[in-house]
Amino acid sequence: MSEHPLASGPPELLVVSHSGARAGAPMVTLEFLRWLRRRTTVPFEVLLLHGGAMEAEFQDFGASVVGGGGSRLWMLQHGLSSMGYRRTAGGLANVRLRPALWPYRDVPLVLLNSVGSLPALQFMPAGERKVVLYVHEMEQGFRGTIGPRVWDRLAPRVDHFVTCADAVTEQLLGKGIDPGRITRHHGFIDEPDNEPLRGRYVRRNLGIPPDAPVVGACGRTDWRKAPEVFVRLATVVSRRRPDLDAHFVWLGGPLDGSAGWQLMHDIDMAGLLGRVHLAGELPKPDDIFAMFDVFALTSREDPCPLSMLKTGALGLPIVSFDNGGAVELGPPGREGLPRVVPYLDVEAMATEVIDLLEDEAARKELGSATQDHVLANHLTEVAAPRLFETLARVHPPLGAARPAPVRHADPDPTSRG
Amino acid sequence: MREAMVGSMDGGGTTTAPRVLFVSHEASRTGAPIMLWHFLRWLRDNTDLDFETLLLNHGPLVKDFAALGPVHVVRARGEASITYFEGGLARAGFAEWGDRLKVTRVKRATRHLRGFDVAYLNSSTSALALRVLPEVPPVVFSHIHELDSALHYWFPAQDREIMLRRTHWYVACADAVARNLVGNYGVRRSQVRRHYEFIQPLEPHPDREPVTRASLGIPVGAFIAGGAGAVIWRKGPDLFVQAAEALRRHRPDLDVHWVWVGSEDPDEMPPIHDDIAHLGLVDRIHFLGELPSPADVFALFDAFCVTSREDPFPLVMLETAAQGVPLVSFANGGAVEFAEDTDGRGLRGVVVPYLDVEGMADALADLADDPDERLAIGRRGRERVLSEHTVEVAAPRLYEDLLACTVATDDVAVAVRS
Repeated sequence: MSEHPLASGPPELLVVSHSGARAGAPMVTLEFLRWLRRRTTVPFEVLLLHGGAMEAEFQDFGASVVGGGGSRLWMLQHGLSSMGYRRTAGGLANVRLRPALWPYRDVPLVLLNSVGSLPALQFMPAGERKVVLYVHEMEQGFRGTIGPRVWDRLAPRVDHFVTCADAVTEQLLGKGIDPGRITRHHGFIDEPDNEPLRGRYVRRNLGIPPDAPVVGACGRTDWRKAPEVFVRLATVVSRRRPDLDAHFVWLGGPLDGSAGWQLMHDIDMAGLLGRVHLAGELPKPDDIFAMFDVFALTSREDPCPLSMLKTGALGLPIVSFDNGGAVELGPPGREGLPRVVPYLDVEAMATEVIDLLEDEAARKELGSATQDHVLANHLTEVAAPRLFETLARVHPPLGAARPAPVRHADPDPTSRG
Repeated sequence: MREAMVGSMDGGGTTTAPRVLFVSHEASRTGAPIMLWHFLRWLRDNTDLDFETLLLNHGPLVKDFAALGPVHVVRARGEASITYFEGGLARAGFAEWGDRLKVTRVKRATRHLRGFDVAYLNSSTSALALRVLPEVPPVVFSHIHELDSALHYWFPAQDREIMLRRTHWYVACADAVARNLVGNYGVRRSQVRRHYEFIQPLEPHPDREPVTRASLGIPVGAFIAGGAGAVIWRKGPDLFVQAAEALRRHRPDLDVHWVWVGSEDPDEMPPIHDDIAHLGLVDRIHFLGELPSPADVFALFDAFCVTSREDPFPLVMLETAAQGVPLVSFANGGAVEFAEDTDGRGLRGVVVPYLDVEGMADALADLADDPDERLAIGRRGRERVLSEHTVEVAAPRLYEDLLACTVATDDVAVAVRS
């Protein structure tokens, strides 16, 4: 078991992340860990169920990694599962995970960072502990990670649920979870940190002229984030308004497998080579975000995308399908700040994009309002303490390890619980 | 040597017919195996060609192939599980092991196949035969029904390499396919013969329409937009759903139902039913799965949509056109070649730019608004199919080329080697 630099005494908290990939839930987890280290004296441990691009950042916290980026055992387990030998795969998972979780058997509080981490519960030795599950997934995410059977078996062992959006809360209520066991905390991000010079460098590398407007998007190249719909958006905007000379940048991967070439096929066939740019996965996305003029959220479902918060923090206007979280970004009780269009209505999204590209004043006004809201409510320094308070309600001894709050914007306007 | 072996169409004149091994990658009810079966049936009925068939996988058409002549089927003990295991190895990142296992298995099953003069591979995926046969026949034809993404990304590299190295003659199912082979794979133009796909037109049961319509819950008078193909990325079922949404938005006054015929493989299909539910189109969009005889459903279509991202020359386009159903397609592959006005009699389909879902929706609205134009396009399409794309018309041409190319193979072999 690793030693946390500030830890004194036995660990009070185990944080389990389903992976170290550069994705929303692990990024929020990292932010929370940084805040814990910075602002509290809580002794905690970190466990990664899989490796990924941010593995090293997790290891700064002494994280143990059950399956590293190239874990053969995990590949074998995954392979057996995909071949239909699920029972054997389950046995192998047991062999992999049970010893990995054994050292944490006495930790009194476990924070599972996503539904993808929930299966770890079945390999934890019996004991007195509280479990909090931070749910970032909506329906497709649920099905894509664990499915109903695992959920039904393990959800009763969760003491409290944290959700990243009202849309997720509604979903849990639909699954019969008692509202008293749910608290909503939107995702949170670090303060934006961009270097304009690097943004210009990337722009030049992508072959985008210095003055050309850029419509940006970000996410894993999968069905849920819908990069192929982003290509459709590019076709409609380019066809309607070629005079705008707009360029389109998708940040995120993977691009080396079928997802990448399928996108390239669409871009090529639509005659958009040199107009739609696949930037891949980059370690410092803020630099790229800063060169966008409009951020388009084409996801089919996305309860609280961090890219929305990050671009919002940089003062970018956001357009989105009605897909979950975008409508919630804004002061409570008011219409959301992003311009939200009906689900998959690419024409309507194109209209909003064109409108914003043409109208600099509107673009700045919307960007500025979004920036004010995100900086006031979604920075780690503001939001992490709220999450911590929820954890402390579930496991009161945690509260003693927390110094007085440093900075609060509002008295928790986002929380329901 | 070849001249002595070549037979003739009418069965007379020459003495020794070549011994041809036709290879099909599988015996499923899909485009390439169905077309090969039609071709073989025509050969059996109209020529004295000495042929046998190798089926690299099992499938529902095995008996149909067996009715036409000697058939060799690659069977494996516990067939479903072993092929699943091989595929599973590939999915799990052990593609090389899966490939080795497959090659060993197929080699054992085909080691007796010797003494053929010609190998005719019914699709690029049949190129595996060139890696496993104990001796590759001196003349090799590859009938290519694939465009670039299929050839480049789905096709195992080893199979592609040996196909390009050992093939003497390519039969391309569309000009787009020929251009791709020549432009992207270094194939000589003189090695390629373009033969469009052909079908045996299906005739729907004349009294079935009301019954079929009622069974789908589609009211009389509703406009039906059809689609077909496996529910996979390449066929664009997601774009079909988005076109339905766009048409509802553009023309809420139109009573339109959307019907898709084709198999759904849960491993490969995008979760389009979520989109359908989210868009509130559950009552409007009907995915029917694979049908043994889809003609009755095709007969209901008022228009047939090719939403494919890549489709060289879909047979179902011909099958629906044969029933007078007008075509609407993205500018993509052979549908463009079918739709264009090549004889001055007018277009045989409507082509909209690639991914222009709204354009496709508008084209359908135009067809719904203008029954005369709809019927005219449908009639021209039907005439085209009957004059160019039936087995009776197209199979003799393919056979003639097969013979002529076989005779000329020595020259090509020298050219390829050089």
